[in-house]
Amino acid sequence: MTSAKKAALVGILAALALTAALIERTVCAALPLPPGVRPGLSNIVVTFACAALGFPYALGIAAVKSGFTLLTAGVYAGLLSLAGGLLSVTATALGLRYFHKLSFAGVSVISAVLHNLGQLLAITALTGSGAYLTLAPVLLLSGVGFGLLTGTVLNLVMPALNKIIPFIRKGR
Amino acid sequence: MKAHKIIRRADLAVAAVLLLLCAALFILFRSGGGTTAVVTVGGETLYEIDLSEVSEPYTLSLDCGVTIAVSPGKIAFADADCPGRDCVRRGAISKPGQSAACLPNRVLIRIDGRASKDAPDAVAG
Repeated sequence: MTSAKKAALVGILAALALTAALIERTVCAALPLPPGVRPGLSNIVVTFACAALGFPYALGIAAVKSGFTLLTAGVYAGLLSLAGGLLSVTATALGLRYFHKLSFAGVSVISAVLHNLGQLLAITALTGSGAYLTLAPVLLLSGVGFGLLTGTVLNLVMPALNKIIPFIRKGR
Repeated sequence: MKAHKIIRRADLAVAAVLLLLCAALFILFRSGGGTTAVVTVGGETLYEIDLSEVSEPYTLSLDCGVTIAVSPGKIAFADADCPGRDCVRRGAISKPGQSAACLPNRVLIRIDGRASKDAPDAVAG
């Protein structure tokens, strides 16, 4: 894939990730969810970007998403999103590269859990209080559950995407 | 790219390990039949309230713009000035291990696992 095509693709994916985040936030706003529990739909896009384009591009999408969160929900939320996003994308890249026994479902579980962990560590560091660590069990549980869900979605969708990617690669 | 089955055994293995960890932490944090609600802002504990000793509902107004409703056995965010109001939507919490938080204002309410006999009825300051 030429770098021009990669740039175009990452732009589309970033927009997709933002849209997913926005829809997710709107839906979750109506529900009494524990703090930090989210489906993590953008992770589907970011994981795909990591597999198709590589770690730097996936990181870029995560950064754009954090910037969006910063602009729409404030500095605190933006920082938490950044912390979670960085840790999560790094884990995704490592998972895709080194844990070949895992499909996207397993990698997404790791990403989701580490995203929550990153946010937990960030808020603990920002407030200097260990009190938030009691949120860990709920965040672990939702990370595993939603990670499996989003990863399975990607597993299901990949055959169709694989038909498109070579198409893009050949530049027709 | 990877082969794409719907789910693999290794995926479930990872999930299982993490769920075990989650269960362990859960048991660790939820020991005791406590009814003490702890309200912290930033790092500091502002209030410790034994919810089983609450007879009439009252509200606490924090400096940061957050209002907390305390009622017999339950505690909840009544109002807040944060963008999403996720904290208010969380609703009331009452069981040990449960928590509600207003992250932009750095307020955390959690129900402690301590036995209520040992905990103070209310602590302010």
